[in-house]
Amino acid sequence: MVFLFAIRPAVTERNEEELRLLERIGRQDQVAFAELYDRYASVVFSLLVRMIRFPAEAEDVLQEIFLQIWKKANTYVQAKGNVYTWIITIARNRAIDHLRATQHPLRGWKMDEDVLLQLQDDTHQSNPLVAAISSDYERFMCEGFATLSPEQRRVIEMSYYEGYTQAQISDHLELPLGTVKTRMRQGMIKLRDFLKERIEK
Amino acid sequence: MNRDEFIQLSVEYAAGALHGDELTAFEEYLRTAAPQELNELAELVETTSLFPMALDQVTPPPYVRERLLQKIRSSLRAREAVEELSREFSGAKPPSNAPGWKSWMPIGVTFVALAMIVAFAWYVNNLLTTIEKQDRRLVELQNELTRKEELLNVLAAQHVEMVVMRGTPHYPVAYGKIIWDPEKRIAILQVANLPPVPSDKDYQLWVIKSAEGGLPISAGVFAVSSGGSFYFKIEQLAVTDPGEIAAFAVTLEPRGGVPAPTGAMYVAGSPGL
Repeated sequence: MVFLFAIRPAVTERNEEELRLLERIGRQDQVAFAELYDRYASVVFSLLVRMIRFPAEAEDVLQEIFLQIWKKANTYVQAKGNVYTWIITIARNRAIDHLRATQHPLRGWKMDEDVLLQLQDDTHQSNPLVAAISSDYERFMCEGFATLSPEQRRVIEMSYYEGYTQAQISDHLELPLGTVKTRMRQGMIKLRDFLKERIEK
Repeated sequence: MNRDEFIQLSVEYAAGALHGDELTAFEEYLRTAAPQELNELAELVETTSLFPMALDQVTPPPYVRERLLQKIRSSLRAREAVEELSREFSGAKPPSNAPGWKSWMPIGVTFVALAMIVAFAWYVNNLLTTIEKQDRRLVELQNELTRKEELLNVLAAQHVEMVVMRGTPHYPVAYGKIIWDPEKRIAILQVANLPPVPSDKDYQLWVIKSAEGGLPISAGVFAVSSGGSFYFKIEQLAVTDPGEIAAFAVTLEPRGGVPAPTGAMYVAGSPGL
């Protein structure tokens, strides 16, 4: 468990709006909850289907995730971090829990939500990636992935969506561990720089 | 830790590749990390959080939303009922001017009332846990029922088309069929006896049109967990005219699917065969 730094508001207007939505959800406002669901259900469900692969199971997990958001909204409002990233982190963690519980072979790692809050500290206000999500991001992300080599993309996807360790990726793809690490690093840095450049434009 | 090591570990952390002792040690390091280091890590974490945006976006069925809201309304009602009962208990006032031994009465009454509230709270808590478990099971059953109803709705359409798929020489025991409503472009894929999909693979359904050079078009990926019979709904089949279909086929591909088939074919079928 990592202690939190003082958290201050993230910079973007959209995130401010989403924090207000969470605040209303914390006061048990069902309309606000439905609005947040409508905003993020598809992207969360897409992540779940990709990770769990069985749509029927993904539907159940989707409900559990949004129930968790309903229950924990107040806590997060106090932290005032990036709402989208928080939701995606919860979603990935719940998908990993589900895969473990149903004895899928995935050995996923879960991000500590407290660490996430720490990372969303006010020291990152100048960071363009700590920003609200716009419809442009979908395009940016697709374009970003297209800049990666298939090999870089594969190791990143095996880790993020499929929960493999680098050693397992190395075994699976029959590559030296150093090559897996290099591909992951080059791919991630390339994606980060691509997104930063696009968002700053 | 030098900068190069920090970047490497941050990349692995953000991508979900850091495990066990390495993960613990890195999180420990973050307690005292410099703001610039945290900023670099935050950029990478934000980058990975955007990954799902690059996926083909899948909209959850409307009934998921309805049930979720229904569940929330029920929990609010249950909480209100519990609060109301608690208020009634705590609102009971003991007599104030009782003489002699009766002067202990207020304390006794308060004690009994408190004990009853604690016992009641414990009982309600157990009850809510049971209700929650049953609710979860109910949601699963309702979802299953809705999915079956959706399948039946496709079958109930006035005009449906069907293509039977047979196991290929690679896996002859498998079979399946596609039944679709050309008007709504909704289809049901049924497959049976396919082997369970390996963890790094998915089955991928292909539509092969007579035109467009016979190039296969992906109609989606799916997975099966055992050798039984499975049904999948396809929301937007990329076919408007049944006459343009040359064949359907299912291949085993890298997880998440590929733009063009690369793996072994398990079942295939053409209209009229």
